[in-house]
Amino acid sequence: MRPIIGDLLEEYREVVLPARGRARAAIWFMTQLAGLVKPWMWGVIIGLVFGIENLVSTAISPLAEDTPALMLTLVTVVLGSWILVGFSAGRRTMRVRDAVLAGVVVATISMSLFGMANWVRVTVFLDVIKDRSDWVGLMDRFHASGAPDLRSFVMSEYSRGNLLSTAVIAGIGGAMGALGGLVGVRRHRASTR
Amino acid sequence: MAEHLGIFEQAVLLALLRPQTDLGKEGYGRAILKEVEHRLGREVAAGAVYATLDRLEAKGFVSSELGPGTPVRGGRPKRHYRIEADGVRALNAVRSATDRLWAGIHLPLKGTR
Repeated sequence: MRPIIGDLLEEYREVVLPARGRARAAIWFMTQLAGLVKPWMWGVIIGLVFGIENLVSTAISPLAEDTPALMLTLVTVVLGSWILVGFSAGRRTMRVRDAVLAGVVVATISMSLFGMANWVRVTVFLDVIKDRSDWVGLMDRFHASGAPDLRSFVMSEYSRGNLLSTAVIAGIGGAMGALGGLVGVRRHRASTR
Repeated sequence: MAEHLGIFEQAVLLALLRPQTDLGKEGYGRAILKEVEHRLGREVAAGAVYATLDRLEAKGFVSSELGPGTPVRGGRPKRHYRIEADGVRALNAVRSATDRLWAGIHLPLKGTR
């Protein structure tokens, strides 16, 4: 990786910075760096960032409500990052098919890691988060089920939900990848005209 | 059967075999990128060139070695690439196949409607 960073620095200092100015040159540098990261790595990065954030925020304030503004921000950032990955793949390969695949890969990996972090969250903080307001429905189902153990009931519910949601999320990832890929391919064509 | 080479792979191998620019003759990552842009006549994403070089090296078509760094690179080394005999054979094969495919056809092509 060091020779590649050296190449980018050389281009940045000798060509891009004098021609485009500091701000646009910085954007160029970050774009080039982002282009070196493979879709599965983006999936790992996004999954880890949101998974760890979920754990940390639960540790700090386990009963805090998920406000609509917070959820909207989360969804926007996640979907936006999948679109960007599709854009990058489409721009690089000029194929929307590759962008769709990149979107599916990044969405599946990121949400799988997020799901794992959620398992850890339930395992570690179950005694506290069972009193959350958004757990009322889950607790009602637990009491109605007659299951002897809350932990195994929650894990079983999460596992079922995760299998279904991973398939749905892969589809959404593919759609976001296609959206970004269409723009990326168009941008590529426009820049070569 | 000859290994299939895409247009981009051909451009990278030709950039190493017959560089047309002074920078291109240096044969390291950025030099190859510039040479490929020169040959294709368009801007190329750096990631695409490095990914292609990795793929070609895995196939044994190119080899590489690290050279010294320079101050403008923050002291980071340059990775110099060289085309190998298998790479030249693959280029010859793809060119022969293309020539056979186009034999007897005159340009520009005219449509049927």
